[in-house]
Amino acid sequence: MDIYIFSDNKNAGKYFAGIKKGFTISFYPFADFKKRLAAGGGGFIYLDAWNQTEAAMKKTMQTVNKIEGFNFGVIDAKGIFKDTALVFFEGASDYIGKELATSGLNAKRLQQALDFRSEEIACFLEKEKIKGGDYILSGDSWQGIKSGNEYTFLFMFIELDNKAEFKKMGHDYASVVLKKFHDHISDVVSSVNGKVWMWMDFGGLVLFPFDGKECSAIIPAFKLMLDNTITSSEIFNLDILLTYRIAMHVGNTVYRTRGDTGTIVSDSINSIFHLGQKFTAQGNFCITKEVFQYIPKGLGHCFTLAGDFEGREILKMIPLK
Amino acid sequence: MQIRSALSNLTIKALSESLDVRTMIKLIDPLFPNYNVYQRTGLPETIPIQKQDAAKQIVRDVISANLYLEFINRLILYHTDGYMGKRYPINHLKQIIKEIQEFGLIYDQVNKIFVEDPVMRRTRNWGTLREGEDYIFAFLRLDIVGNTKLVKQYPEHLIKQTYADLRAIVQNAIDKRNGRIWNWEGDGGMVAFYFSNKNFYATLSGMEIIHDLFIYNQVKCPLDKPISARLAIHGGSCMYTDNEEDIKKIDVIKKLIEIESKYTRPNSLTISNIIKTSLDTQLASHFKLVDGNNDNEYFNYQLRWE
Repeated sequence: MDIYIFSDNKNAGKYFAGIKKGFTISFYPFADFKKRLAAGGGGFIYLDAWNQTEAAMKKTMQTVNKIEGFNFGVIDAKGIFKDTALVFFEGASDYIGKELATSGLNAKRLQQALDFRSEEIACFLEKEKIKGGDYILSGDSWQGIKSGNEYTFLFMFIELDNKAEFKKMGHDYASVVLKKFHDHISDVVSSVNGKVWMWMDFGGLVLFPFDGKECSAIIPAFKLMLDNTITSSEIFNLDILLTYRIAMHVGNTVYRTRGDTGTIVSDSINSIFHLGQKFTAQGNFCITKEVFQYIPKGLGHCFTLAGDFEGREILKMIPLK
Repeated sequence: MQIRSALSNLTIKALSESLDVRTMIKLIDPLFPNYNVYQRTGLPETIPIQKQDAAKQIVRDVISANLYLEFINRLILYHTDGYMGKRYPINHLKQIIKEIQEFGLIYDQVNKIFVEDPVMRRTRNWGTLREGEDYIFAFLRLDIVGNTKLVKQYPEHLIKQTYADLRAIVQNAIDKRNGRIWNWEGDGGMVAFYFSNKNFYATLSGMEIIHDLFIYNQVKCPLDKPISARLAIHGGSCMYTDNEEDIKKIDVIKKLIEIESKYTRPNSLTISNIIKTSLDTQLASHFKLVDGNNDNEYFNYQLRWE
């Protein structure tokens, strides 16, 4: 795989020094990127912001993004971008900040960047194929969903991370905070037809009806991640950051009303609990490829490949610092 | 607020059962300096005045001067904090507060005043602030970046829709924290917070607007480029007025505008040191010192991705 680096930084080669095989990396002066684009043929390029302004880089990214077949990343060892999300808004697939530039990239990291866009596109292209699979669409509301019947749902697992902190709080106070958490999640998901279906002490499982068209329920889940600091301060009213992890998956289960779920046997339920409890790291948000296909397209930029788990490809939301 | 006779009678009862006449006079001194209960009732000073008569006259005067809520605030203060080191338990106070709540007012324990219940009513002054009097506020200002260019670049209906969506984002974030939009023009506006922990709520509102705007840009914005906004929060004492031109002349507001326009990058929120010092350490840690200003310390929040 050919990677083209456009940089006016003499030391840019050091960032890629750890990549010994699998990629052919070529370096060019920054101004030559236009020639490469004009030559066509597509490929992956890195634009180094070394001696550029944020405004100039923005224009450059917009230019590159318009050219079909090219994906690009941004190297920003000086920290020119105060708002790093901007590079993803402008279509970038990768951002190499100061820390990563200092430590250097490895082949795995580079491959993730290359897969970022192509995976997104591939997933969307495969939508039709998977849609015709084993889904028993439950519709866009709870009307028509009957206890005892099997349906396809969008599952959301959510659980608080800081279990040790709760032990320090004392039972009564911890109970109050945990109830607030449950009620908050219940409020948030009910705005998009979600129902808290199973609940343990620190979290549980939410069901959303699934119509096979779009998983718009990912929006409140995404917002829950962005709002983690707010939730921690305002809802829990604690001077520590209580984080939570979220996992989402589309799958089938027999539906029974809350409290009557003890006898349900479902691979999908096992999968979502495993994904949430065993794979998703603290403060992270992971979704299966099945979910990724149905999320609003604009949010695709905010997810990156996180690896395989129990035979499924997993993507995770790019975490906040 | 129209005080019903039942509430008036209950207040008279509470006052006469709980305080002697001398303490009643002390209680209302900030509202009626040098109050002469004999003069007001017309009773001769040679005869000791009955508690019931004094209470009746005081409550009548308080209501006719439109100072009933301020008077109840004083009663609550005597009941909870006391006066000169002595507490005065006031009978029927709970019932009085409950009846006031039926008028759509709730007691704000932080500011120690009655403000309107946001579930029932939302007015610019929270139903309690008085024109010309000084109060301590927190202000949040929002400005859409490149408004002039956007207006020229896109059809009017798209701009109107986008700006209306942005206003809805702001409204959603501030309503649940009892903020009030004091000024809204096409390209942004200003929100005031007075209720409870105003600096905290203004900050959370600002952060939530940044988050919601990010999501809006990804999934809903009808323009082909994301819309950007700058947000700033500053607070302090200033005179309450309904006049929007007068508001712009207030020092706190001038400073707010300066923070937003000079020290805030697009899609970020900058707060003054006054605001930051009132936040808990965990929340405050998400704000980074803004470079380039030696006289004042400002702190900025934005979505920072790993």
